[in-house]
Amino acid sequence: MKIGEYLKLSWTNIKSHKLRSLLSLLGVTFGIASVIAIMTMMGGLEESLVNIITQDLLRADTINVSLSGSFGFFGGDRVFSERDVDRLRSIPGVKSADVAGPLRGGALYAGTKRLLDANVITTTDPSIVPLGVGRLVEGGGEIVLGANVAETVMKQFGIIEEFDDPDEEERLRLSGQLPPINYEQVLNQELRMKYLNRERKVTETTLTVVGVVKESQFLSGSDSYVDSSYYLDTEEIDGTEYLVFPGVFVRVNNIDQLVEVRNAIETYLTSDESDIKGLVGSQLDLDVQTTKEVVDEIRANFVGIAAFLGGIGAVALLVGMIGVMNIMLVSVKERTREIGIMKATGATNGFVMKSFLTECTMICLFGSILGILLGMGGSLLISQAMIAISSGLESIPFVFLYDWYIIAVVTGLVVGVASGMYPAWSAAKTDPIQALRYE
Amino acid sequence: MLVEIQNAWKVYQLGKTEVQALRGVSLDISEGDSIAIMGPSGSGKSTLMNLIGCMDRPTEGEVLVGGVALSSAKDNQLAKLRSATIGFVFQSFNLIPRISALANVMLPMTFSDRIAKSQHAAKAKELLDRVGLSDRMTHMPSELSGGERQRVSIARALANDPPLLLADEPTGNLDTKTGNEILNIFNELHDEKRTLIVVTHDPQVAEHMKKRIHMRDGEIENGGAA
Ligand SMILES: Nc1ncnc2c1ncn2[C@@H]1O[C@H](COP(=O)(O)OP(=O)(O)OP(=O)(O)O)[C@@H](O)[C@H]1O
Ligand SMILES: [Mg+2]
Repeated sequence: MKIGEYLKLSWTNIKSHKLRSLLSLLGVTFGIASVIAIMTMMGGLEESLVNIITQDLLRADTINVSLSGSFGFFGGDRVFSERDVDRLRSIPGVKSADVAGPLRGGALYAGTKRLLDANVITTTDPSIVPLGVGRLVEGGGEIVLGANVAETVMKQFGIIEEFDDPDEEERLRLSGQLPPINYEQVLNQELRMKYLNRERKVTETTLTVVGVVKESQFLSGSDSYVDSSYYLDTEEIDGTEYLVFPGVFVRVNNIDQLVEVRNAIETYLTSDESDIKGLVGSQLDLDVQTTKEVVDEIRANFVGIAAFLGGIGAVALLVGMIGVMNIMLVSVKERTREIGIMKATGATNGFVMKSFLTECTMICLFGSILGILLGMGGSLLISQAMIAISSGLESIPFVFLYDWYIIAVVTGLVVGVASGMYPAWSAAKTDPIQALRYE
Repeated sequence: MLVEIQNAWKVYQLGKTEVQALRGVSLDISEGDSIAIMGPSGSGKSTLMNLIGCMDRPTEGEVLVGGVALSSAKDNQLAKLRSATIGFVFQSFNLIPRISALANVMLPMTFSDRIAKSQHAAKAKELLDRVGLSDRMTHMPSELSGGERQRVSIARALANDPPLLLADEPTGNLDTKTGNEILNIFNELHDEKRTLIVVTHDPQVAEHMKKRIHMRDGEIENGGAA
């Protein structure tokens, strides 16, 4: 008999046990759906995070130097001295080496009001700031505001309306009843900043807003940027006070030299000649990574999390598979007499085996296809849940995971064969005489 | 010779007790024979039919169907033999309930290469027509009367034109009138020189057959074919 006839026969069998087929199908569907939903959600998160890093934060020609476990751009212990940075600049192939770091004691005021959740960061390369509107700082007396800070400032100055209930505001903005915030309106406003100067005295200065950082769920909207001249964190090294930073961004002249330069940076910083080695000694544990390596590491972390979550989905699938097997066994038992009839009219053991296997595989295949669709839909729900429980995340883009769809379909086939094997075998082994006598 | 039964024994082991369902039965069935098997309940009639129908193997002795020795045949060989040689009609009809009368008749054809796929439906219709069911083809078994169901199962038994038809109490579940209708079909088949073996309690049915065999306690009375 041809495969087409097995399919036809199985389809007849499936149709005549609709509820039962549906129930076993759903077991597989939910297993596959949970895996697909999780992978889709994680894939979306990963893509948007990688996008922001590769497009807004780091360029392909950049090597990120920081302490292990921290990302220099976002903070960490301040141990990279300006002398070390100068020496990195003299490594052959290095185009530039820049630093960024939070301003110690930095506090911003809009009029008389102290702004909460407002960090001030300085950098020697203003162009690393992912700019939304306006321009970058070109010297002292200027500031590029984080998006959240800009919003607060606009409310303090009465440029936009203030809401008692932030959730209500968010809802109105998302639904389009309130227009999106126009950050242009905050440009040229004046803020006051207090900070510690080199003598560790509180100093006050006035800053003009020249730009606003891009709005992104992965960029802290509370970070604002000022000129590096305000940065005054120091350590005494060899009897001199040197500025110290949480990380260094090194750019190379030629992208082919990336690995070479990275190795040279690592060699210098871990050698006894470096200030950092003198400062922290044997505790030194560096991350010297190219953008590609940073991205790879993020992706690897995502694989780890996805594997864990996917494992939970796989358990669901296993439960579904046991369900299918159970229902198939009941089916075989219930159709005992039918098996006897088929055998009496000339069916071979092989035919009986194959017809049950085909049926089970078809159910699981349908189940997995339905699971893919349900998973794609379910990922939207999981994304909503993720956004709701995490602070900062605003949206997770939807991504199509074609590899995973293929894996899901193949899994459906494998689950079908695996769970149908024993029931089909027991059907094939049925003694026709006993089967015909079966009530 | 279509079937040769040589001193066949069938012994069932039920725990410590031994049930001797057949005790040294010998019988030859040649083409065109029609045989009625009679005997009290439990005398081994169905057991013998199962052997002739290649559904079972003898515990001792030998059964040859179309020259093939059953005792050493593999499951698949038995299935092929059933498909090519045997048509069964059961007391309880044994139709598949989920498919139409027509599909039931077509079923044995799918297990055999005898009839081209494209001819299955036409052949099944022809057979249903011949048992007088041309207007019941798309009915499900549950939508048919007992007599109609039995006629479907006769049509099914004829699907692959088997040389040997086996019927185990084909009228056992039917009233006299419907039973007679079924017997008329058997008579016709008999007239067509088909080989027919019918288990029956009804002397009238037995009358129509060329030979009558009486069984008792797993043995054929008067030593063999009468
Ligand atoms: N699978 C089995 N296991 C044990 N004993 C069996 C089995 N099948 C049949 N027997 C026994 O073999 C004997 C013959 O059974 P069989 O079914 O051949 O009788 P029968 O002549 O067809 O009776 P009836 O007219 O009631 O159908 C009976 O005593 C029965 O109990
Ligand atoms: Mg019987």
